[in-house]
Amino acid sequence: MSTSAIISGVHATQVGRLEGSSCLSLHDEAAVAAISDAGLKPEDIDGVICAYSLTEPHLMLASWFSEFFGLSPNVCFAIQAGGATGAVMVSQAAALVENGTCQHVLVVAGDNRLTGLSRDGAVYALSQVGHAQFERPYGMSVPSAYALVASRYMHEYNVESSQLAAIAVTMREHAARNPGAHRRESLSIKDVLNSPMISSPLRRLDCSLISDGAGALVVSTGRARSDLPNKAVKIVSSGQGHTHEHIIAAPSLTDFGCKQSSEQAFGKAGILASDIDIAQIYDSFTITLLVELESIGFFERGEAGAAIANGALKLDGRLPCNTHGGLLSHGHPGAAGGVFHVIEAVTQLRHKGIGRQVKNPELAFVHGDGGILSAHCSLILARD
Amino acid sequence: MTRPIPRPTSETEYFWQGCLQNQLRFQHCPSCDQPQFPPRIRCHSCHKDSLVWRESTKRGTVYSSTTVMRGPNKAFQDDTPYVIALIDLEEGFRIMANIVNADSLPVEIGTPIQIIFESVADQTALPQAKIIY
Repeated sequence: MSTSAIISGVHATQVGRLEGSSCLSLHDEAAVAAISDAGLKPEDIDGVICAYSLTEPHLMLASWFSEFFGLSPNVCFAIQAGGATGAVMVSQAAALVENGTCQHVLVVAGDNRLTGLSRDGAVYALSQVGHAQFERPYGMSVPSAYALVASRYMHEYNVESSQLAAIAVTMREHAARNPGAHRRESLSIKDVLNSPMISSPLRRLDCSLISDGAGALVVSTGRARSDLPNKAVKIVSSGQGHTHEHIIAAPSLTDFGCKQSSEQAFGKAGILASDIDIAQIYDSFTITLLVELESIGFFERGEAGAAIANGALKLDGRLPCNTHGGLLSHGHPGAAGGVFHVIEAVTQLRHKGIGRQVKNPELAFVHGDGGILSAHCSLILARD
Repeated sequence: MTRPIPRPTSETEYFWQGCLQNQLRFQHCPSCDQPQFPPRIRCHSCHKDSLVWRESTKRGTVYSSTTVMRGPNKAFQDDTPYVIALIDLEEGFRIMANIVNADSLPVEIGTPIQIIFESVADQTALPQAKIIY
């Protein structure tokens, strides 16, 4: 486990319907608080990595943000890997401090998708990940692409809709303990199964939210750890897997790049999936989380559904997962959604998950996926 | 908002021309002896640019399907419910299509289908799927 990169500061804004917010105002709010959380000043930041915005699309978001915020970093660029972006940003920031290019890299993503685009507007904008000639003419949205994965996966491994619903309910239970979450009111399996069908077998409550919000973190060289106001979290390793973009070209609908990305991350860290104390795994849909848990190897094929229905992902379960409430209930403002998974892992490893702290976690697994289970990035984080 | 109409590019033009002639064309790599879709410049496996075009029997089966109740925009929303399926053709390649004649929903995995062509614009025909009852 050799690395010199640590996460020194984090901040997640409130997530939900944030009237009056903008893409850049959300970036600003998260960034200034994450820098402060690291005990740093803006002038200490020598690297900036941003993501993308659907509300205010821009070719050079990182440069625009740096201008807006008042930073002149040595390294400044944006990353687009869909839902894998948050984890990819952190792995690239780690590489920049490990190779000595930067001392403190600010990673920040945010968007006001809900107030800026509306739910229908965001769903339409996201549907453009579909192939312009061979998918979009058929009325494919992102939910229907994931529904095609769900239909096949449920057919092969006898997954029941009530098991997917148990994922949504578990995420909501976690969000109920998180004052920053978008949706906190209680939810039952029946509520999920009675929610409107979006694209069979996925119902509205199988789908993540459309939210406003932002998340930021600072990745620093390990030499900075003695000056930190908060417990440092080590970035132990990362891995990626990229197999396709469009679902028509996916090599499999049951095995995805999360297998390679997690194998790389576990291999570099010299650990096994069974060593992990907590997991923060991309949950754009209930099926996304189930497929990834089984493909990565946290559960045997066809067994995650029943295990989750029995509480496996709860705070005191076998694998506490998405302890902030995930994209399904904490919220999903785009690339920031993947950043929230990293921030929550840091919060738990600092043992500061007020109202939702898992007992003494030391090792966390974080995973993001973009497109239609297309682009994958895994991270292993450890309490210093 | 309207439905997106496919706009052929240099690598897909021959495919779309085939659709206007009621032909479902796909690429085949002679080196790997493997079919490939969607159309590209080179074999995604061996990377040789010696792909040849073949014509499909247009028969296949449903690999996965979904019944859409919420479309991505107004044009599709007016058509709900509609079925999107991934179709595995006999020759071993996969395409997406709407199933246009389903008697009952959802459409079962493994259902045999025949590809037909729907005129969606002047000089544009879109492959679609019909269940063989």
